Amino acid sequence: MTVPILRMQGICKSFGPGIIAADDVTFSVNRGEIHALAGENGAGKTTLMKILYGLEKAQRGEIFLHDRRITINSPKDAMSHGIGMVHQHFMLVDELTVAENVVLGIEPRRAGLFDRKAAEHLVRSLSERYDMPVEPTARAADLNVATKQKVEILKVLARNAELIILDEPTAVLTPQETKRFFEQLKTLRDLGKTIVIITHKLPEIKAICDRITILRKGRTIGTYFVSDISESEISRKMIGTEPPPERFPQADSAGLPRLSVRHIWCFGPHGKAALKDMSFDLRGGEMLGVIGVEGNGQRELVGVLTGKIVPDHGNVILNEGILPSSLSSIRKEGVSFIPEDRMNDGVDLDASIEENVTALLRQNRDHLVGPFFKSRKLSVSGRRLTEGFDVRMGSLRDSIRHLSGGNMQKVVCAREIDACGTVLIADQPTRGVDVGSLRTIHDQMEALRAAGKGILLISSDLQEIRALCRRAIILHQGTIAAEIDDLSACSEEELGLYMLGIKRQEPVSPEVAHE
Amino acid sequence: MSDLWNLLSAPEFYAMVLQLATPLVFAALAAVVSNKAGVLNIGIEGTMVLAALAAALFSTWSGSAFVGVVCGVGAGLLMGGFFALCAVRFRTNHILVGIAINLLSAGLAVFIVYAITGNKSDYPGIAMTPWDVPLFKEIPFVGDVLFRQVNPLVFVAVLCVFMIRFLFRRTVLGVRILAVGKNPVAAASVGIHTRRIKTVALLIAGGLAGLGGAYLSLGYMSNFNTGMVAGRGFIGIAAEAIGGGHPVATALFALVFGAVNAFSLAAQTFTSITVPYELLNTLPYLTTAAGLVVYSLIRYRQSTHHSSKRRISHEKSVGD
Repeated sequence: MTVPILRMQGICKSFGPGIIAADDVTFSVNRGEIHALAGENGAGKTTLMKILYGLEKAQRGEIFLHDRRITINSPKDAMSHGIGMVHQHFMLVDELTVAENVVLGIEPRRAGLFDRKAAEHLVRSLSERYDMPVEPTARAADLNVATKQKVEILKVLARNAELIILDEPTAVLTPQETKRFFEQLKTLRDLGKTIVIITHKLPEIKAICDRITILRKGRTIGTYFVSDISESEISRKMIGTEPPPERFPQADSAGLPRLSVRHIWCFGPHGKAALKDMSFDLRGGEMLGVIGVEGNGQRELVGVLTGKIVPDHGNVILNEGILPSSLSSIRKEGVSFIPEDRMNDGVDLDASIEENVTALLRQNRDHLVGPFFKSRKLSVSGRRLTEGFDVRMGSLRDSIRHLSGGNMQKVVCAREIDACGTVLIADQPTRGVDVGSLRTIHDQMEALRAAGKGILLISSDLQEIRALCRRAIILHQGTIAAEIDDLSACSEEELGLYMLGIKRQEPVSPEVAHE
Repeated sequence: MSDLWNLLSAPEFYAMVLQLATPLVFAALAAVVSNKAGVLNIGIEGTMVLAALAAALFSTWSGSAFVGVVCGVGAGLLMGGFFALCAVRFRTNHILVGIAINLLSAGLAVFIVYAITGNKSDYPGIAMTPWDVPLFKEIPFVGDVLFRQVNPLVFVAVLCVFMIRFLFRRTVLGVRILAVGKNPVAAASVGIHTRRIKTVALLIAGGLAGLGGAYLSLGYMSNFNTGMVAGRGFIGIAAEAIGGGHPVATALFALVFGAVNAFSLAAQTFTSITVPYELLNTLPYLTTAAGLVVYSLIRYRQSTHHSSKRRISHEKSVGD
């Protein structure tokens, strides 16, 4: 148990002046353990693992495998040393089958030709041995997220990896899937594989990991046995300050309905209903959570509320009027929108931080002189917003492209929360965001709610909704499977049952039903 | 009507369809291979022009049609290599490289022909000897169409269709080309040299376009002229799109375009009705445009259908 299989020593890596991803990092993993590599976004954990996997090159430092010094210049080198990595964004070719994906790059051949039979056989035997059932002839495009993840792991196993790196593996899984996934990881460990999990989710570290190494701002804070360290200690070491007291959502000072969704139906192009007779109210001064496995109507709901999709039946009432049909006129009614995909919809990657954060202010009278911008005033506003949200950056004029995910999201949130007049639609506002940024964003959203605005929070992170919302609706296949008035009185398991459609709440909220 | 009936009942018409479809099949296969590698290769047209010229030149110089064909393929490979150099090695935009190749080829062909002969459009070539397939040629009708006086490259085209199908179904290279084309990041993450694979695919495409060009100047005709490719490279790309990238389906659509082309030529001899031949000449291109519109409508329906289907299967598996 105590033989280090891998040791990384004195690893240094910087991306240009001032951006240090790894500063003399030391990291050591023992054979047959599940090791958490924890830290905030931008702490350098993914960079460290990319160095190990040959995707980035360290400027200094040494890597020892079984006490022998090795050099890794490419993923191929890493694989030949028995190191495999499952990326946060899956690396599957949708058009190919599971078997083809698994053997891609190491295709079995017979008489010089691609031996599909052997590939399928390999997948079958691996999935049997490691208890990861998956159909080798299925096309990757048709798999659900959890199965795709299994295929990724099989890919790594097919290359005889001894050390498997998983980059935030549970970000896309439901609680039930996560549980099952953890059992599979334990099976892998018991069969002698060594696993490194990059994560910042503390409960998961506690649930499955043997040891933890914490990074902060590119430095190793330390390596600990998980059994010897408490969650709050881990959190403190990750952030460097005392963690916030656990948040209990305030009783909502619920006011008048700001946004009323009434019997909305949306049909897909082939007549399949994506939203079925959906009704709910969002009141001023409340934060309403939208819970559900992805793909159960969240996208369509957000589409309807932001003018992207016209519902086939039903209507939406915003501030006592009919919802306008375009996002810009919806915004004029005081609605703000934090989109799910910050890279494509949230920011303009080619623009500067200032341009991004002040984009909405630019239509504002007091930032204009005739057709011209008041550039000094915009800078002042830009600084006010970025400071209010603690955006860590060089200069306001820098391209937003170089910000870390968390800081980029803070820019988006600063812009939208600042502009919010009545309603904020927050679609996955903290996905892939580190603990520090998450706290800032949550604090600001909570302040906005306390100021009497209505917030619709769509999130795949149950913890987030439980921390912020008192009331929530659970979507399943385009319907509201349940409307929970007090989340604190509902267990996570029960929520999971609603999410999977195993359980449904029959009587919908009476007020809506009588409509 | 009797004109039409006479036309459709004559084996010569179908033989002409085959002849006209052959260059389209080569062009379409070149488009298949490029597209699978994730490259929209509009340089096929220009590649065919230069290949046709090279085939004519070298067949005359060497006195052998076979040498001409080999040199045509060589010219195709060269252009494929040039495309790869620009688009893969130096990461130039694919469309821009394609436009450059097309303009370069058109200009270069005129220049070379003028430099050698002093006229600006034509250069003679040595035609390939057509084959008669013994026994088979005696089959009534079918024998006349398929096995009598047929250019060897027609058989090569048919062979290529199945070779390309085999490439993507059964070979490691084919699977890797697919992976590189559909998800280069994923392919690179498992250690596949994406640039190398793309280059190989573009070379194969260049070679196929080269065969198409050589067929035009040494098979379909026995000389080169500068306007002879006449958009066939683009029609090939259209056939690929309508065939959805499947080699056999793509070849069948190339055959359809060949048939329209043959019809537009034959209809000029009709006596009962007179349609201006300029109008008839536009028929292949009109069909191409119409085909693409129909295709994209079908494809649009399918894709929306597919995405909703995918959502269902996702829900199902989550519900299990």
